[in-house]
Amino acid sequence: MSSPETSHARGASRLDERELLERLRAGDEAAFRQVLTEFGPAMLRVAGAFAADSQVAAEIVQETWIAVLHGLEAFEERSSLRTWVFTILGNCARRRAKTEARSTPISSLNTSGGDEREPNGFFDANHSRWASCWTTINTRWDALPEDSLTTREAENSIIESLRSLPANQSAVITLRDLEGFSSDQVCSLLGVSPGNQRVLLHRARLAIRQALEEALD
Amino acid sequence: MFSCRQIYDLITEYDEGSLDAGERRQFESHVVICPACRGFLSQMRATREHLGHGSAPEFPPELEESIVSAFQAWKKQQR
Repeated sequence: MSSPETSHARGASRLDERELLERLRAGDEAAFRQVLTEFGPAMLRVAGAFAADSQVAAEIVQETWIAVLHGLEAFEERSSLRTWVFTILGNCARRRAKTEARSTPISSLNTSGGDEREPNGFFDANHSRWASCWTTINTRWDALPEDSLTTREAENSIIESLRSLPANQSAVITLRDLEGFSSDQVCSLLGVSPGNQRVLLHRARLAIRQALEEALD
Repeated sequence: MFSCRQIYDLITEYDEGSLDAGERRQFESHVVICPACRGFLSQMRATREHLGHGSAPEFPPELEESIVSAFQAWKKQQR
């Protein structure tokens, strides 16, 4: 998957971006609306991973834009505009999480995010012949009819599963798999270690895979 | 060689490129002979791919207008 820095589809080149920044700094409302249209929905989705409800997520996004505007003049362009904006979003969300009930206290971002039960589907480690082997064969999903994963039921199961993830897992998988940020960027945005980020991502992907499997059955 | 249960735990580490060379060899040696783990690996990758194709939620117009108002206020301050 391409990163936000390299994805052409996700925005203008760095040269275009410089022009965009000049327009933003000059107070060009059309340019601002363009950036808001491009980044806004993804920002709301990422904020939603931290927030208790959509109202709080919206407030985090609004607070982020106010911080972006006040930091625009000082922005040194060491990263793309998108990465900078999402870094501010991560800071706002983490600050907000300290004071909200659902929330992702910063300390909990550095845990695996709950649900560390043993998975089903394996023979016991002491089994005489099949120790720690799968009890059934997993089939490849790419052998299924093309639209199997895109049914409304499958989509709904993903949405529900994302909502039910612990907030730290939800934040990591949203940034990595839905929004295409790199692992380094996610560690920086969330203030988690690379190892912890991988654990959170793994648990989140396992949960979403499980939800998809149940929808496919 | 790793067990299926270990492969289950290490799939993301493998795909992230964070296993060392020895672990990577063990992982690949197992998957090449184990159809169940190949299937599971393929499902995990399909999950990741599928998530990447989802569209973001609609951005509420009232939120957009509220943020644009903040932009206009900021612009006035700049003058």
